[in-house]
Amino acid sequence: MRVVLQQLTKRFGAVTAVDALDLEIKSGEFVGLLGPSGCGKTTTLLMIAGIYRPTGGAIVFGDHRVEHLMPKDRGIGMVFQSYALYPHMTVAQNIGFPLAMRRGVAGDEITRRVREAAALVHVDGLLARKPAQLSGGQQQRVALARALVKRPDILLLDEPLSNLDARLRHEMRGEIKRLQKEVGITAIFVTHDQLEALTMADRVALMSDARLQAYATPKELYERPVNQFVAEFIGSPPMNFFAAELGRRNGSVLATAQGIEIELPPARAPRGDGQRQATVGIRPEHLAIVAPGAGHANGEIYVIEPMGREQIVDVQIGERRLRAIAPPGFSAPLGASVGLRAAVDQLHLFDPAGGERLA
Amino acid sequence: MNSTALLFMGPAALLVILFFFVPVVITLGLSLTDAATATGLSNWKWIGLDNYDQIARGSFTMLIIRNTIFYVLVTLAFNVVVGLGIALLSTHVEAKAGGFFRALWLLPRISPSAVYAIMWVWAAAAPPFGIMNDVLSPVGVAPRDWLNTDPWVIVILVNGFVGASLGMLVFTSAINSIPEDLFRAARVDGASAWQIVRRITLPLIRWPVLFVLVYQTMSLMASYEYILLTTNGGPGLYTTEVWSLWAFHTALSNYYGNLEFGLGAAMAAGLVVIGLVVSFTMLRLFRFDELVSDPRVEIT
Repeated sequence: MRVVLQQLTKRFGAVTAVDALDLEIKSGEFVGLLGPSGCGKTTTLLMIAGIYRPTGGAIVFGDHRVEHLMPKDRGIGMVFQSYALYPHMTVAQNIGFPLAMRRGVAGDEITRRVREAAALVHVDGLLARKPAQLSGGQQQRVALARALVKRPDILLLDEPLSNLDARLRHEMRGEIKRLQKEVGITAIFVTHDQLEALTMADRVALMSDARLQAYATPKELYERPVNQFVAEFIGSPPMNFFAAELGRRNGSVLATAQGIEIELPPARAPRGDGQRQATVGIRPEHLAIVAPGAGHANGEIYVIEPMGREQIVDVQIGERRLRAIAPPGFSAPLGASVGLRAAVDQLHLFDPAGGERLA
Repeated sequence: MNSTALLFMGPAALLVILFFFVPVVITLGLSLTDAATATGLSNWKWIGLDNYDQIARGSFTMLIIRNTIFYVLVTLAFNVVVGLGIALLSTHVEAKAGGFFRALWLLPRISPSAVYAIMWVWAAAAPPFGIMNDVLSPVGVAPRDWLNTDPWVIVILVNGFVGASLGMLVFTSAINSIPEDLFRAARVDGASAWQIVRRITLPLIRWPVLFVLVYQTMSLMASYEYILLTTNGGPGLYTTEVWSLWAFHTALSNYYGNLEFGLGAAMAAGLVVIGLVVSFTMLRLFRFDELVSDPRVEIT
């Protein structure tokens, strides 16, 4: 089912938690609401769920406005950050609870559908246990089964992975993504972890300070961030930024900063002549370490962090430090002189004033 | 057990022994004597179980047992139901309003007992006086001299309004300690307000409810001060007399002037035995041992 948010706003007293949010989620799509804590993403989810009443704006499911409907009448299933399993009920009772709350669902049908939902998330062996007797990952699966058992139109997940350890998180990430596609359900999840958003979502809505900053596929967000906030938030290790003067030489645009000089390819140069200054962004993986004098900048190695598959190398250039990714074989003493070469077609230029993308 | 442990437990243990254990032994001993104002402190003698025998055969014993059971059960129901009601309502409205409402219900408990009881006596005064008459006559309740016509109503309300505040406090904190997400999940799962109370809230506050039930039963069985200060067991002979008040009247304050310490002590001893039996039965009934988990800190 399609979900549309129109000018959705929520204020708590003087604080605006969500400010005029417009978002359209296609039927069957898996959308991640991403942002730093306090950006309004969970508030948005709770408004979609019907737990918070919007201060203004509309929420449309399919073709119907639902702001006035109670959570139970919205056809949603929800997984909470804490899982919110009922501690006094068994796994089977937990999963069956949404069905038991409905009139006219027979006992044997509840049993059958509980088994079905439990099998879907592989907890059918745990039906007689209480939540306290389950591991975090199992609790998560039970919460998923409970959300799916009434066959909702929309699945909502609030920070679904934040309570799991790193290993389980990786496992459940894939599991939830597979499940969402298998069931074919429209799903919205909230996360503060950009890696989760990029790996799981079809599209990511990046929020900050109650506003939507970007809404795009993970690939677009990564390759063509619409503003500096998006560029900064997406990607690990984060993108390098430096302020540069823009000038012209032989018909092409030149970005210069202390110790750095890059000739911009036409596709990455801002249009028009007006722009004199820009914030240049370049991801660490697009900076290569080369011999001194052979790249766009020269500096000294500040620190090397081996990550196994690659190494993160911080290079001191004058007063600023740029981060580059080097292959595992790279080795150099601290303080060694190196050059840095940027993949010029992977540069991002932002307006130093507003942070909007220039090119 | 080593000497340090004894040293730490000493002060508290001493207090308990001095003010609880010793009086119990004295009471039990006293209950086997005929000590009374008439015998004085010199002429009393051991009479074995005669006092208990006298209570068992007493012509008012059955009436007083019935009164006590009625008083305890109805007041208990009032206490727990009203306490739970206030706790549920005041935790589901805006926090400030809920807090104010609960503070109001605490007033009976923080007023001195005697002042509180006398306020009830005035409120229940015979026509043309009495706030109760003023408030209830417009809704069709005929004005009356409440303490004489409906003494039980007053006895139960006086005790109930005080008792409800204990349940209210305990239940409120128990309800507030249930994670908000559980209520949200239940709403998403389609539970109505009543179903949330029945299926989520009540099962999760089972232990506090049990605690209040047992504690209030014990304290109601032993309490008599508000009855003493309002109806004093009347009107007439033993209409609202309960066991503990009977023991008080017999041993310490009665119309005839012959204070029968021995007989009163036997009544009190009987109450202790009944209290123990009732509380153990209740703990069994609610499977108390299942509610208690092992301590998280290891004590060696």
